[in-house]
Amino acid sequence: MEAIDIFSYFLLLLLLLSGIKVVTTSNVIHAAIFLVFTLATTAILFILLSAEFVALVLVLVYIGAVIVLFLFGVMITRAPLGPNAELDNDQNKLFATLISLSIFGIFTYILLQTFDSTVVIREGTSTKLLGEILLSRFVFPFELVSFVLLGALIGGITLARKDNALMDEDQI
Amino acid sequence: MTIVSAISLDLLLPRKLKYIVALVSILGSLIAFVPIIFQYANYSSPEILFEGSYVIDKFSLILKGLFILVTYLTFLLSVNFVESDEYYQGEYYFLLLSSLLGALVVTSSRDLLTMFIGIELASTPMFLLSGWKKGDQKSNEGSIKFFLLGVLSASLILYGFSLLYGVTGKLVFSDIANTLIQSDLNQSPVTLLSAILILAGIGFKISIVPFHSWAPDTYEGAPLPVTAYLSVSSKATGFVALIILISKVFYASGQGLGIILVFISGITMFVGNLSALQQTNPVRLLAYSSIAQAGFILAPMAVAGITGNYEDGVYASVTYLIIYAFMNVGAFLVINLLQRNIQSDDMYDWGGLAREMPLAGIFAVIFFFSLAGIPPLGGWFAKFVVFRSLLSTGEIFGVSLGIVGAINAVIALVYYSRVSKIIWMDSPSENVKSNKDTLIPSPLRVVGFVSLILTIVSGIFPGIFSNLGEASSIFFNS
Repeated sequence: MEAIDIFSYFLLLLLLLSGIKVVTTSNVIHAAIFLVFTLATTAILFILLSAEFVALVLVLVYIGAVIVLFLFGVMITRAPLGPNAELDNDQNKLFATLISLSIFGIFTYILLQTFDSTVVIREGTSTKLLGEILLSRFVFPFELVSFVLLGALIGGITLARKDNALMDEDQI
Repeated sequence: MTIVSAISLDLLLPRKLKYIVALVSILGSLIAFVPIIFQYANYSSPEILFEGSYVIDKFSLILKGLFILVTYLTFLLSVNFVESDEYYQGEYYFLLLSSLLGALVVTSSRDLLTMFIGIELASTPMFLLSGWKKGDQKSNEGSIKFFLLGVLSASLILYGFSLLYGVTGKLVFSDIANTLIQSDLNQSPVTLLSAILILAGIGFKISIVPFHSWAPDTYEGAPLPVTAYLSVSSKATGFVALIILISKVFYASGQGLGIILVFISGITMFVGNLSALQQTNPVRLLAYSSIAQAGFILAPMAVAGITGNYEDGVYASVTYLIIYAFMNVGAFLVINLLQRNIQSDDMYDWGGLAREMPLAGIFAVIFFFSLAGIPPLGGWFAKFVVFRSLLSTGEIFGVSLGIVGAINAVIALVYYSRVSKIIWMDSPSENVKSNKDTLIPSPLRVVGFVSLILTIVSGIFPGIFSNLGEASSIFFNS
C-alpha cells in the first residue's frame, strides 16, 4: 500500500465522519461548519484525481459562497439555532433505517460489482480544455443554465419581497 | 429549431409594463407557433446540432407545437386571473415562458446534459409559481412540498444519469445505447439501477403512484392557471423525457424495466381513480384524475418495453398525451368559470349552475365526458389507441393491463359524469351566494373554443394523427 492510498483512505474516513456529523448534529451552525469540512475533503479528493477545476469550484462556490451565505442568512434572520422539538418525527424510525440500509446495500453491491478494479483516471482534464469545450460543444446547455438561474433569482425575489398591499388586505 | 428558442428569448426581455407583458407573451407564443409550422411543412430530414445532442425531427416539432399551444392557452387563462389579484404580472409571465423554454429543449434533447438542464428549466419556475398566492397557507404548503420533492427527484435523475455516464463514458443517447449493447451491459444490474433511479426521478414530475403524494396539495394551492399548466405541460415534459429515454437509451434492456412499468401503470390508475371518487373539491378531483390519466399514458410504453415494439408505444402514448392536454386545459377552464360565479371549494355547491351559465355547462359536459372517453369526443380516440396497443400485443402483461384500464375507465366515468350531473340537474344549494358573474371574459372564451374544437375534431377525424405515426417511426429509426 502506497502512501497516497493511506492518505486517501484517511480522507475518505474523514469525509464519512464529517458527513454523518452534518446530519446528526442538532445545531444549524455546527452542521454548516461540518459541511465545510465535508466539502473541503471532497475538494482534496478531486485534486488527487487530477480534477482541479471541480475542486476549485467546490472551494470557491460552495465553501466560499454558499456556506457563507447560509451562515449570514441564519445570522440576519435570527433563526433559532438549537433543536426544534416540533420538527422531530419519531415515528417509523425502524422502517426508515431498514429502507436506508437496504438501499445502501444494493448500491454498494452494484457499484462494487460494476466499477471494481477499473481505474478510470484520464490524464489532464485541464481547466483550459474544460473552458473551451464548455463554450463550443456544450454552449447550448451552458446558456440554458443561465435561464434556470435567472428564473430562480427573479421568482425568489418576488416571493420573498415584503408585500404591503397583500398584508393590508389580509387575503386568504 | 434554435429559431423557436430565439423567439422565446426575445419574449423574455420586456418585463415591466403590466398590460403589455401579457399581450406580448400571448402574441409571442402565437408567433412562435409560426416557425414550427413552417419547419414542419418544409421538413426533409432530421436536423442534428451540437454533435447529436440536439435533434429536430417531426416528433420534436409536433411536441413543440403542443407545448407552445398549451402555454398560449395558459396565458389566456391567466389574464383575468392574474389581473383580478395583486399578482406580479411581469414575473409571472416570465417564469411561465422560462418553463416553456425548458419543455421545448427537452423535446429535442438527445444527450444527458441537455436533457437534465431542460427538465430543470421546465420545473424550477413551477416551484415558484405554485407558491404565487403569497398570503395563502395552502399555496405555501403546496409549493414547499413540490420544491422539496422536486429537488429530491432532480438528484435522483442526476444519480441515474451519472451512473449511465460512469458505465459508458458517453453523453449522447445513441452512443450510450451502442456502448451498452457492445459491452453487453443491457441486462446488468447497474443499467437497471440507473433506469430505476431515472424512472423514480421523472416519476415525481409525472406524478405516477409511489411518487404522487405532492400533486393534490400543490394543485389545490397553486393559482388555477398554474395548476392547469402543471397538470398538462409540466407533466407532458416529464413524459417526453421518459419516452425519449426509454426508446433511445434503454430500448434493448426494456424487459425488466417494462415489467416494473406495467405494475406502476396499473397501480397508478387504481389509486388515482379510487381517490378521485371520494373528492368533493373539484381541483383535487382533477388532480387525482390526472394521476390516473398518467397511468393510461404510461401503459403503452410499459408494454412496448416488454414486446420491443416501441414505435407503436410511442405513437399511442404521444397521441394520448396530446388529446389529454387539451381536454384537461378545458376541464380547468370550466372550474375557473364556475368558481368565478360561486367561490366554493365544494363542487356540491355548484348545483344547477349550468342553467345560469349554459355555455360553461356545455363546456363542462364535453370536457369531462371526453376525459372519461365517451365517443365521439377526443378522449375516446386516445383511449382507443392505448387499448389497441395494449391488446394487439397478445402478451399476458399487455392484456391484463388492458383489463385494468377498462375497469378504471368505468370508475372514472362515475366521477366525471357526477360533475356534469351536479351542474345540470341538481337544485341550487342554498348556503352559498352567487356572485351573479355569469359573463365569460373573451380570453376564456377563446380557451374554451380552441380546446373544444381540438377535442371534438380529434375524436371525429382521428386521421390527423396519422402524421404522428409517421413521426414516431422517424423518431425511432433515426
